[in-house]
Amino acid sequence: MSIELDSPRSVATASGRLSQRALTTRQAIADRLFRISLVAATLVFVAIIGGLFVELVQGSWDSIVAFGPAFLWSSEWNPVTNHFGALPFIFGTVVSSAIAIAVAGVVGISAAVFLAEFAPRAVARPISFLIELLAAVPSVVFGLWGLFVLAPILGHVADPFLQRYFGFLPIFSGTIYGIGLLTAGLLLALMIVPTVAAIARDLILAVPNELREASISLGATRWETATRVVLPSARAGILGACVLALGRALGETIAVTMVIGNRPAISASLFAPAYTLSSVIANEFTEATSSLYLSALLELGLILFIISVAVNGIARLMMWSMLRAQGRRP
Amino acid sequence: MVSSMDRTLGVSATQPEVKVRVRNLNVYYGQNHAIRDASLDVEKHRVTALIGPSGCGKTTFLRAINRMHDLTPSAKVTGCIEIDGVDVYSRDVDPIVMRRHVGMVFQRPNPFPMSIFENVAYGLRVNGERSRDRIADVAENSLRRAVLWDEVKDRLFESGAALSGGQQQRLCVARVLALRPDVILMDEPASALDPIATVKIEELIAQLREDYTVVIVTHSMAQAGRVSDRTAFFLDGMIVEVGPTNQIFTRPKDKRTEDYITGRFG
Repeated sequence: MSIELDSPRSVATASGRLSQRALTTRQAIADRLFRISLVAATLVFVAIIGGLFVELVQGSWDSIVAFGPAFLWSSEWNPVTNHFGALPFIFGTVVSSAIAIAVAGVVGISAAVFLAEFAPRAVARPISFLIELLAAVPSVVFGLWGLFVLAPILGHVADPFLQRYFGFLPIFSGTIYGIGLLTAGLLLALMIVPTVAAIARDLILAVPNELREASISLGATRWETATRVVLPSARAGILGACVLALGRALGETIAVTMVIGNRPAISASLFAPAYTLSSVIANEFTEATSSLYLSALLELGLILFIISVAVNGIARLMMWSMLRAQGRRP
Repeated sequence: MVSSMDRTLGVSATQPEVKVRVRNLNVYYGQNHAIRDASLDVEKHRVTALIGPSGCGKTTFLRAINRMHDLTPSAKVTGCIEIDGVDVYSRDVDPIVMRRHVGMVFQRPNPFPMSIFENVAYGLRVNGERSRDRIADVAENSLRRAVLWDEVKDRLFESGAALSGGQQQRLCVARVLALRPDVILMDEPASALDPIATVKIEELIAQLREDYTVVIVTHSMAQAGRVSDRTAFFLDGMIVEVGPTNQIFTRPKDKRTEDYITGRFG
């Protein structure tokens, strides 16, 4: 191979090149060490997930053997007779979280669109800060507020109103207690709405301005631009934000425990008290007297774990298909 | 300063109609005086190129024509821009309605994250067109005019983002054509494209001249020479010289234009 003398790179002499090779070897070792440490750090997550799963299955093995798959659809929860079923708790968890994500999704995304697309900076800045502050409020504080403020308001004002005008719907029938499924769902919505709003706002702000300009230049209004171009551009990410929020709602324990009524019953009415998987574990773990009782509680934990993983998995699939539809690679 | 007063020079016997008349345009970004007292006549069914070094204000000038500066809170525009004799900055003009008549093609291809068909249909939809048949007709026509139809007719409902850069840019042209605008503004439409895609866009611009009035910003003098009938040379926010493209390139009257053309700066 010929060496061009006038090229500045080839000025290096033979010895220069040797020392360069030595450096390269050292770099290669450093590179490898670095990579191993990165892989190790990543594997920690795999180990945690795997370990959690194994531990939960082990702990709930007695219950799995005793009740079989019927555990999932049995409604009985009787520590005295040692009969346990998970259905009321699955119901409470799923319904309260569904209410929460429906409300928080609509409110959070609307607020995000307003803050990112319409609000003047002098308004958007302080409100965005407040939203982030709201996300930092401890859940027990939310629980207290829910018990002493939200529950009375719902019980005395909102629920009777709903019952009066929409009482023909089974979900708004029955006795009003103030605490119950609806209260828990709304409190959860309040707790997760900052997550949705803050992330969705950042995602909307990240939509390239060129898309807005293209839309405006075609005679679209700012509203049309926001709803038809900007939001669809960010929708895969916003779905991710909602799943993150939903994950928090599914697992939220203390605030829900304080306002849901803690009764393992399945009722069509949203006003009725209910119970969630996480609440029953928190409430009854210390008083689980028999090993089967303990095992059943752990199986509830396993179910919660599987629901969370499934929700995330489904959301991931939906995001992939959305990104594919937009022609981007996930 | 040479203004557009001498536009009669070198123009063919029939007096061309003026489509866009810009008078004493000033644009400020906060304290920055970006366009200084610029005046220009854009002739109908001609391609007018705006050339000049980076930061000379040619894009700012272009964006004043369809009031894109309305979106920038710090921007202030004074002066007069008339399209067919109507001042686009007058109180009676709704910028949203006005922009329908002034299409814009941007520096980087920016198709919407939706299907090829929906990209072209978008302008019609936001302007109130409901008839599916008509939207389909116009979309096909526009894609044909943008010389993209044959390449996309079998995948109209696939994402616009899946196209190549050059195809995306022609999709953006089709999107504009769907509204049958009077004027098409192009902001360095080929700067992000490879040479072959550039040629296609330039051929397209040459065809558009038959039905549309085109104003194109370009940093490439060669491109200005290839596609434009008239050229305006910008420097420091002012229009130094404007005239028929071949005259600007061969016999510039202003020393600064000559220096730029001959590559002494910029």
